[in-house]
Parts: sequence; structure tokens; C-alpha cells
Amino acid sequence: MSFQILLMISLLRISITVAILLLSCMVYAQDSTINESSKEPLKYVPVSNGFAFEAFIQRGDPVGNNFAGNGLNGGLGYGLRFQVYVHRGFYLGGALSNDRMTVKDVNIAGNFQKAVKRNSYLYLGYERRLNNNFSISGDLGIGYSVNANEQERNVQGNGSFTDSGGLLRITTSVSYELTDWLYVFISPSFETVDYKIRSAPQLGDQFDTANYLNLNLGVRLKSSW
Amino acid sequence: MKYISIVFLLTMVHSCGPVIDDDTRAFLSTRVVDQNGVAVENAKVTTASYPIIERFATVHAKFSVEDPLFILGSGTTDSNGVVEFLTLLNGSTTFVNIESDNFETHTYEIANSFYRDDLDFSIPEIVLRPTADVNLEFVNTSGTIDSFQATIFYEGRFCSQFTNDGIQEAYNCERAGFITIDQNTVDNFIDVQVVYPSTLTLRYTDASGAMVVTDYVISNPSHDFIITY
Repeated sequence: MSFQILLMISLLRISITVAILLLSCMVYAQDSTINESSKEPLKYVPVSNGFAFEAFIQRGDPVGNNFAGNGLNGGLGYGLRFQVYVHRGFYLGGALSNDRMTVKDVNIAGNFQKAVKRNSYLYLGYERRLNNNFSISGDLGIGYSVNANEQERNVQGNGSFTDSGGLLRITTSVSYELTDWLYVFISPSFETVDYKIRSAPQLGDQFDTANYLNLNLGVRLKSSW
Repeated sequence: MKYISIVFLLTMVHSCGPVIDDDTRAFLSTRVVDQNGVAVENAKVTTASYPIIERFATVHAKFSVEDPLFILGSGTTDSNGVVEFLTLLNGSTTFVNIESDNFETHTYEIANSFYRDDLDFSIPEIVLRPTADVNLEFVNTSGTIDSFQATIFYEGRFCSQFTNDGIQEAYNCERAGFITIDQNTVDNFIDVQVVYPSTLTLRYTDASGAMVVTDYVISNPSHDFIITY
């Protein structure tokens, strides 16, 4: 398993562990202030129906044995998401994102200098409140991804072209409530793109798919119906 | 509204510029040898959207607005003269330019449709030959006042899969040059760069109306021929 995948798994475990520890502390603190004769189990309060708007910055890294993992360097990007909570924490949404990448090996990726990966996708997910402050969520998205590739002007000729394909994305997040309508979150995600690139037999399956690991930091504005 | 229109127009101009083929990665392989079949090492082989040399051996200005020159891929030949590399594609034609310290730049013009099925651009062999500067001067000894066309056929540094009849697998390196011979014209000569060893053929109609065909052997770096008519 690659280093990047191990890192992401570690980050996710840390996020969940912190959230569980905080929940445990809250429960213990509550217990310590409750009269022994009136102990009651915590009552779970699901996420309210409503909608949310997210804006985030993203660090994405191509990974895996493919043209992106071997031939491109990741960079910073940004994105927007809008989702509607339809029932007890389940939500539907749509997202747009841009990520900048640079070519580290033209012999693997092609003779160009940089690329902007543009994703657009719809997603279905579930959010659960851990306590009054923390929530966790996970969603699965399907959509479209386009790499807008550009050559360097003076040496390569300033040409441009695209690589495109279908997108599958798994997004998780841990969010912290600042106010009842404003949250901050950290969100690791993994995406795989099934490219429609035609390539010569000598290039094998390098251009069939590519995988990307991302880490987002952002804010979420929520409103209940 | 005026500013929005300008921004929109600039966006459209940028997005409508010359482009490389989307979602495409081809692979070029070839072996570069000299006229004796000996492998040429350290030759730089470049695929581009335009030839670095034109058909009549004049250096073309790169990156001019009218003729966008995209470098699609490049590699260097090994000790066996072999080179292989990933290349992008641009439209219907790919120009393979070969640069070597010991030879003038050669260009092979490839018809992309010939390799479209699997994108495997395999050129069995590219031959680099030395180049001769050939000058043909036409001198009027007959006193004719008629003007006429002379045509020369020779082998140049530009080889192509395209022919008048279509596309062929083999590469044709024969070039043609044209000159109008006129006693009132001072410059009754033509300069060409010809690879050698080869034969240059001259055809013209003389003052009596007879077709004259003459072959000239090109075997040295420089040749001067005087043709009387």
C-alpha cells in the first residue's frame, strides 16, 4: 500500500479518534454533574433537514502506478459544494472543484507543463452528530473530470489540450460547530478517474485511470428548514 | 456591458486558439542510420506540428502566429540509433525532425491517419545523408527570346508519406524545383540543397522545342552546373 494511502488512512483514524475522545469527555463531564439518582442516557439528536454551502481549499496529490501518479505533481486547489439534508442526516449535493498540477516527467505524462483538474460531480452522503460540537460525514460522488493541459510557451509551443473521464469520489469530513450556522471542517477524500484517453499499446494501461488523494480545509454554512 | 463584452471576446479568442489532440497519446519509434547504414547516436528526434525545415531547405521561423509550432515529443538515439518516446498529436500530420551534429536537419512528414488505429508510430528506418549545395546557372547561347520553364527533380532532406495520389507507407524524399528561364531576367539560376549520393534531373524545353532531360550526379558537398540553352 502506498505511503499516501497509509497517510490518508492515518489522518482519518486520527480524526475519528479525536472525535470519539471528545464525545467521551463530554459524556463523562455530563455524568459527573448529574445527580446519581437521575442518570439518563444521552439522547441522539440527528442532523436537521435543511441545506448547506461549503467552500474549501484543497491539496491534491496524484497517486498510484499511472500517468498521473508517475508523471504529475499535485498542488493547491479550491472548490464549492452545495447539499440538501433530506432525512435524518442523509444529504444530496453537487460540487465543483479546481486543482492545479505540474508535470514532473514529460516522458510519462506527455510534453506539456501544467494542468488544471476540473471536477464536477453529484453526491449522496450521511452526516452524524457526535455531540454538540462535532459531526462526521461521508459521501460518494459520481461525475466528470477534465484536465486542462497547457504547454510552456517558449520551449514547448504554448499548445493546449484536455484529458477527460468519469469521476468517482469518496469524501469524508470532521466538522466543528462554531455557531449554529457556521462550521469549519477537515476533509480527506479519494477519487479515481476513468479516463477516455486513447494510447498506443507500448504505453500499457498507464492512461486508463488515475487516482488522487486530497485534503480539504473549509467552512460550511448551514440552514435548517 | 462594454467591459463584459471585451472579457467575453478575450475568453473566446483564448479558447479558440490552436490546439493539440485531446485524449490522445501516441508512441514513436525508429532507428536512425547514415547513408552507409551505420547507426547515428545522439541524434535528437522531435515530433512537431510543423517542419523545422521547409521542403526547399529554408529554415522556417518558429512560433510565428500564422504557423504554430507545437513540440509534441522528443528523444535521443542510443548507440544503436534507436529512439522511442511518447508523443502528442496535432491534426492530420506529424513532422519528425532529426537533428544531428554530423548532418543537416532532416524532416519526415507522417500521415497520422496511417497510424490512427493503434497510435503506434513505428518508422523502420530514417536515413541521414550529407547535404550538397547545388547551383544550376542557365546561360543563353542560342539567342532565343522565348521564356520557358525548367524543372529539377532531386532528393532533399524532407521526406513525406503524402503523394499526389494519396498516402503511402514508404517515404518519398524526391523534391521538385521550378524556374522560369528568361533572357531578360538576371537571376537565371537556382540554388538547392541536395542530399548525396544521389542524382539530380533537369528537364526543360530548348529553343528548338525539344525536351531536354539531363541527369547530374551529386557526390560532393558543393556543385556548380552551367546549362546552356
